[in-house]
Amino acid sequence: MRIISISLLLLLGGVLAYASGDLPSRGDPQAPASVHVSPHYIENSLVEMETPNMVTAVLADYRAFDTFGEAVVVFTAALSCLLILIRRRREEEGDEGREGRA
Amino acid sequence: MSLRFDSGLPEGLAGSAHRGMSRTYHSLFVDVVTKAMVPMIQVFAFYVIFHGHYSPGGGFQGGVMLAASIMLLRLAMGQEESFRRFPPDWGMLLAAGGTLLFAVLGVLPMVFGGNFLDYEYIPFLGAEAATRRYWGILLAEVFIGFLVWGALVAIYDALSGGGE
Amino acid sequence: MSQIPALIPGTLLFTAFAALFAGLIRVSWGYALTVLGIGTSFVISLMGVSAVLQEGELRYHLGGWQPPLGIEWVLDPLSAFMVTLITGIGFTVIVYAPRSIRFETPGKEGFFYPSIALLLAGLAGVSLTGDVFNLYIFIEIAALAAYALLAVGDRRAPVAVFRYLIFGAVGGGFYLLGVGFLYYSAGTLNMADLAERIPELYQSRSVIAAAVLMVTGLGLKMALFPMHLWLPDVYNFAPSVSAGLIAPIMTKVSAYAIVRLFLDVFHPSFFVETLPITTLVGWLAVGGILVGSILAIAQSDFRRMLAYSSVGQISYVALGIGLANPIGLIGGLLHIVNHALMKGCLFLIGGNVRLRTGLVEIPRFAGLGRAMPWTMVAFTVAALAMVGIPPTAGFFSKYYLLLGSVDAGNWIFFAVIIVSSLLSAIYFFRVLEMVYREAPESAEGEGGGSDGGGAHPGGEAPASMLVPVLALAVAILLVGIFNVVIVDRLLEPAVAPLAE
Repeated sequence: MRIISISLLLLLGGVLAYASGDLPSRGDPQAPASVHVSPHYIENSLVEMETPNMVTAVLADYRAFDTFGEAVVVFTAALSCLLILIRRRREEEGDEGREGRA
Repeated sequence: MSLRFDSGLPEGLAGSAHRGMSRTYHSLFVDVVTKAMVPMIQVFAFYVIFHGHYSPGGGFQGGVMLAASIMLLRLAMGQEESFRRFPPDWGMLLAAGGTLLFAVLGVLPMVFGGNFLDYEYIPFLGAEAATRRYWGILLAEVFIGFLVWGALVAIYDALSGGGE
Repeated sequence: MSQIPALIPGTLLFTAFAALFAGLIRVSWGYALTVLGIGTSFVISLMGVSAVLQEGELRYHLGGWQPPLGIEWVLDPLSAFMVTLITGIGFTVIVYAPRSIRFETPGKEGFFYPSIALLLAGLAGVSLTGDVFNLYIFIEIAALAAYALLAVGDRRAPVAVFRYLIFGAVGGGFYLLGVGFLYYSAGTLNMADLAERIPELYQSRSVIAAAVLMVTGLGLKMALFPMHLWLPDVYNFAPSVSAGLIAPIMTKVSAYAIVRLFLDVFHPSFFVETLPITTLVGWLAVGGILVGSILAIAQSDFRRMLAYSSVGQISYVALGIGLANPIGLIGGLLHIVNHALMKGCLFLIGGNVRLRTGLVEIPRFAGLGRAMPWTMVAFTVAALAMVGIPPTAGFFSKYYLLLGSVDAGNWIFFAVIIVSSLLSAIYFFRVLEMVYREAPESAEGEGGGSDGGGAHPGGEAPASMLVPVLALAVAILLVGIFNVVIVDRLLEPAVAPLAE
């Protein structure tokens, strides 16, 4: 079992090392990520939404829907915790009458 | 694996935490520091939320700080006292309320003819498109802040055996 | 009309909140709202299908930003097909749910219904999104809701789900890592935009690694052999409603995501020639089909048998991907809907049996054919479909897969499909034979856990649980008879990129 996990890890490390060989170097201004959509964000976020912090502009407006999805993820996580944990104990206490109150 | 998951997790973990936490430390030092720290943490958290337009920060980060302040209350004061200040029901209500308000913010533009989350179409946020987007972002950050605040406290309470 | 893509998950999301708040006041209100919301989303999905058929694909720009700046949702034939399936199964299961949930997980209804709505919203989002990162987020929403829904089952369920959680998290991590590589190499996250920019990067090692990582991650989530180890325990110990909801659609949506990557992000030739991913997936599918079917024969627990058979059945979808020719992929995609209907039906039947008799062991099923005639009629239909007997739906997907194997000249795949049909015949006819056997007198009185006592005392399941099961059985027949409509109108346009 241990041999399997070690070899899987080595395989993953190998894949990542192999892959990173062809990545544009860090901070390369000519990298695809820097020339395709980023310039628009950088140049226009102040104009289009009066927001000097372009990270916020991308997070909460250009890609607001991802942020919304993340919000739902957090909410789902909380709901899941309650569904799994709280109910189980109440059930054991034999208190099934009060429904859904957290 | 030391945790027993076959339903031992909830009572096992929660039970011991429950016993540990319902006892209040009557330590002057802890009391004073907590009472001084919590409002400051919360003020700074709101600063982080509202200042996300200009500096690093935003709803997620500020919400985590707000949740941390409540957890500090829970740890330092014990359940009885801290539940009086922040009832366990509030966690889930804040989380659901924050997400719901964010969703409403997303749907409002659809009412006025735009696409989901297109703040430009919300007429009462400002005169110009950019201003509307500015306020839309701010509202979204605030709602996220409430959501994260509530969700983390709800998870903490569920794990520590609160909310009974 | 143009708002349809946002309305489907949006309705489900608001349903979750409404059900949560209403459930705090009274559980039955929460339930009513959930039924209403999921039903509405199903209707909207059907409208989406007709809109797609009439007007072609709908592209929806969230936040009003043109892609690649913003996020785009795409309602095309394939995604319309998926969301209709998801909301349809969701609606059937939610109609079925209340009695079963009250029986199996008492006291948890208040949070159960919102979680179901969130799960469906997540899955619908995965189907509709046209953005590789957005897809990840919706996979996570669905996965988190699924963990909770599955973990509230037996005492052993949390352990099984914990393992699923680790597998799922690793899978999600792989996928996200792949997205990172892809973004760094191509500079965009939009699927259509990626499809334009990737061809010049086919030789880039980071794009190759991105494809491998993304497919591996999704493979973990879809329980592709040999990454299926989490699945049997999870479905076995879960509540019937959760299993009946999640087994049909959860793994299929991951398979659908792989198909999306295959057809719409990377050009098919990349997965076939540059990097033999489809070949690999095909051979893994062969392993999954054989292992799943053989292990299913070895099980005596009905739900565990279904779980292992799920491993085999999801591999049919993978086999369709592996064939990488239009007709084979159509078979795989058609098997998504077929298997969703069949497995949903079977897990719900398991719930019916459990409600009335408390039984899960197949050897003790004797006499059920008399005690629960209608449930067992549905079971017969579903079992015949699983084996692949015409005119049930199961026959046609296998038929297309066989045609695809012939097309590809791959006789091993051909043989595997035939053999596995025989294997499923073994394990389903075994159950059928048991069900229609007379109940032995001595076995009476042992079926614990039922509300009536005795072995098969309760008789037929209540109408709220019987009607959904029968509806699924009828759907199996209808999809079988009218499969040509689905194939011609929805699936053929979807696999068009392969035909080039």
